Amino acid sequence: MKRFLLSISLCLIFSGCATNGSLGLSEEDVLRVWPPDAAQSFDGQYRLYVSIQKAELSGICVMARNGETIRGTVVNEFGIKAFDFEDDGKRCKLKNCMSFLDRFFIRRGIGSDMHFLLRADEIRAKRDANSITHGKRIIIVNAEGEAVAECGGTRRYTLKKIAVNDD
Amino acid sequence: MKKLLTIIALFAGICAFAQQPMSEAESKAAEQKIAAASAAIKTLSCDFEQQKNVSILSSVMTSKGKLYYSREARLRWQYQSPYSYTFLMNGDKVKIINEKSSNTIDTKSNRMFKSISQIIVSGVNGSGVTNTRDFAIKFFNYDSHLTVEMIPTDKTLKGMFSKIRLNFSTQDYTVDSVELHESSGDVTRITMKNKQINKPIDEKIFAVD
Repeated sequence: MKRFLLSISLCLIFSGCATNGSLGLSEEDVLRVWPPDAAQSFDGQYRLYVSIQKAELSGICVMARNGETIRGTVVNEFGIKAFDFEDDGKRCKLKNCMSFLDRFFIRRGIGSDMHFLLRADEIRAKRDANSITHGKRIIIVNAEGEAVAECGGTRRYTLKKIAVNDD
Repeated sequence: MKKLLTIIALFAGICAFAQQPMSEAESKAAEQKIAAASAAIKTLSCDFEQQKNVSILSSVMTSKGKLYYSREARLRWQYQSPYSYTFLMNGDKVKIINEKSSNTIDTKSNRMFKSISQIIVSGVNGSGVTNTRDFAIKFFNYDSHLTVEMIPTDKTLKGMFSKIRLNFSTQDYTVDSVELHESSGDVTRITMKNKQINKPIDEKIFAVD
């Protein structure tokens, strides 16, 4: 019964039925829209924070672009994989999901959010100096250089590139 | 051609010999040595390097940090580069500190964190080699290492790892490295460096509240 209720609540979260909420960022915080430069490579490691209603998760997202395809993985700080993803420009598919994320509606919901994060500059979205808005999703890059995407009012993703030293 | 086949056969023979599991008696003896070394560890501090191979990208992620352990179950696992993250465990309490927030969790009510905490502690002090409740355990002898391969039998752990390997030094029977193998093919290897055993550690660094 508990599992059933959990599935229902996750289903509601990922159905994206809520409206956009405020990102809590003042206009002064906003420098540019994500991605900062369409020509700039996504390749690299990112600090990732995911907030779904009251639950908060953190981890590392590593990705690389090869032609039209962006592939990557999301792991927690200990290196344990949450999921791999592959975005071919049309959609983002999740693979090798951790067991508790391996539900169709969760994969579809996160995949759809990830596609918006990765392709915000390519989709027919409403853009202005501060944000990109597409349906119930909005993305803003703040003064700390973090891309903050709010999706459906219930899910928030924060990405910041990590400077990696190859020593 | 014959020479090449001989070389391949010899190489294969060496590999097969190197990965031969220990006999029951040898395993028992190794377990006792590890248990004795584990029992002697009151505190441990070291640097660690974590390397994660990402199969989908054919790349390696490296992170580094410091680890502090004090018996019974006090642990500070602190990533310092390229990101900041601290996993602090004191008894049943776990505190997680990252760049944005800190969060305290009771492992009694969170099975996944309990499993992660147990794996870390058992990896640090070697106590995991006797955990036959959650793992099927095999001992292997390599050149300079004694390897304990732990195959999860517990459902939660099975969903996370296909196997865990603890590599022990044959000098002092303490853990040198831990390998976490995932079913997707990714492997995370954590190597302990500059180990300091039974040197005083300020208990304040384990404070959860």
